Amino acid sequence: MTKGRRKIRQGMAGAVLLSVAVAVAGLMMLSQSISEMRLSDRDKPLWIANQMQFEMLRFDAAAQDYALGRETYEGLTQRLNILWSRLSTFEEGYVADVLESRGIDLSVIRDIRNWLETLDETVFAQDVPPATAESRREMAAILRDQMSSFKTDLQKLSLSVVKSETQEQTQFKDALLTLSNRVTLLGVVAMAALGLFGLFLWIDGARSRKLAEKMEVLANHAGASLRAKDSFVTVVSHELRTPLTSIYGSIELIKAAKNSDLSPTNEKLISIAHRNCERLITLVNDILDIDKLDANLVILDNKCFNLSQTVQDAVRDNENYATGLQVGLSLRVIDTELYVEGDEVRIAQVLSNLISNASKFSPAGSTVEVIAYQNGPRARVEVRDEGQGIPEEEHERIFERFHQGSQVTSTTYKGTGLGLSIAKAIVEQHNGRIDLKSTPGKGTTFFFELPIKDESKDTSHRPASCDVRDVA
Amino acid sequence: MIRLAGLKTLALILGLVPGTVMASDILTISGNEASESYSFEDLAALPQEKVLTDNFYVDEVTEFSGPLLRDLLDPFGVTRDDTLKMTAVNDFSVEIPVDDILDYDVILALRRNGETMSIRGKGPIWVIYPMDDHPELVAPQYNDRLIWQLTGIKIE
Repeated sequence: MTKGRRKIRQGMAGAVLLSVAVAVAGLMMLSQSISEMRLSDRDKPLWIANQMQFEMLRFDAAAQDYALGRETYEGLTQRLNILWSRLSTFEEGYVADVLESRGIDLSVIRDIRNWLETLDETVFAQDVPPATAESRREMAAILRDQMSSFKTDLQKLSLSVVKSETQEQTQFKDALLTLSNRVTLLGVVAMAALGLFGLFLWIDGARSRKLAEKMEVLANHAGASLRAKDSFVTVVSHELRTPLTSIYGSIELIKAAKNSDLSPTNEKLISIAHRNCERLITLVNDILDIDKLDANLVILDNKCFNLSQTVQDAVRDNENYATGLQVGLSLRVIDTELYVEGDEVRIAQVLSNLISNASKFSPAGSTVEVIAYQNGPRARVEVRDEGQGIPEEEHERIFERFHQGSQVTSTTYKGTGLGLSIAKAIVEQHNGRIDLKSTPGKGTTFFFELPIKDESKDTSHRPASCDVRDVA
Repeated sequence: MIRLAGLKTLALILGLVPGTVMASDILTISGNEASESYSFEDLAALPQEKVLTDNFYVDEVTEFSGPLLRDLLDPFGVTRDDTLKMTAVNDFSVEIPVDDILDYDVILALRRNGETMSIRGKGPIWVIYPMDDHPELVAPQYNDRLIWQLTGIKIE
């Protein structure tokens, strides 16, 4: 989502930049074209062509005046020379290039040059004025006659220059129009893109503002719920457990009174109340435990102890519970000395959890086997039942809080759903791991491993802090 | 170049090279109640400035040389308020602001690539602006001031 939006934003920014760049390039081209037009306006090839015509007329006039004796020979040759100089403007420089690029037919200019060269070799070859008035008139007549043959072609030249100029201007105007249209279009596109971009930014900003507000609300909620939880835990511990304990004590007292005059019905009711009271106390203790474990508030009373011994004690402690469920407990201690470091009470809690769980989910008449042995550098305890097994997909979630196995059908055995989660937290606090293996229909094995304090098994190397107890 | 060589040969044949008419005056400067005429030699005797430039009327960068216009006009006491009316042999004329000659090395070119110029080759005097040295001079209004076949300058 965010990636997509960033791409869109980049695309839009690109589009804006691109259209602005193209618009700038277009405007630069425009200004170039306009300056070119100004140039061709001022030094029109047409002006040069007209000057040529004009110069021919002046030479013609000079020849006429010379025939009539109103112009000197020097004056005539002066006009001839100026005419010569006019030719060069067609042959070099900017105008020559322009005329060539427009494909103007300049044959008349070449013809005039040829004619002037011929004059240099004939009429003006001696560079001496004719001696008589007669020969002067003759010379002028020849000049004027030959000159007249260029008149039409020169006019045509001017005309074609005019035509090409008009064409050029039309083309230029068209190009200008197209260009200005394009620039306008680009401008519109750029504005639209800019507008969209702005809108997008605004929406984005609004969204992130909203998000920030939401986050703040969430943070407030989180803080509130944390405080609520704290007070809940306080309530549970002080307001619930205290009266519960006194209720439990009272029931115990009633039950203990051998010579009570309770009717069998009332006795049964007291039993139910006793059992449920026990369950409630377990639940409250579990909740308090998990809360402490969560907050890392459990301070482990770390000591070195023999896990094999602890396992043995745990089996013995849970025997009554299992028997009540018509489940047998069998103990197999393969390695009698499994020294680990940790809080023995907590580990016993884990064992008790696993054994009672296994008993609960075992069919009547089956046996729960508890095995303790050394597995490499670790001490391993397995609790095997012959229950219906746990499906693979539940393995991961089984250690989650308040998780109840889907196979649990009997509400009688329903636990708090916290036992395994507490066990896992405790084992992990001891740098150990807890897991399970299960074959549906055949049974489940829960196991946990703790690092062995003394791998050598040699008692002489046993840590001094270890409280050595014989395995009975 | 071949074209130019041809022109020169013809000019020589016809005796039209400035060399043969050097004795006569080719430029008249007037204004501020003074008037002075100059022959080719007079102008060639002044310090010569070389200007290498392209312009509207030549095909490539060309070397022009001749006296600086401001040197020539110095004795006439021109000021920035004055305008120079430049006239050509066929009575064509343009006006040049004095600013131009004070701000730029405008010359009265007497030689093009070391050769003198005949009337046929836009000579003997061609006003040249150093356009290649000053890009701002490459503009239509300066093109118009490159008057050739110059015969007269009037300070107004």
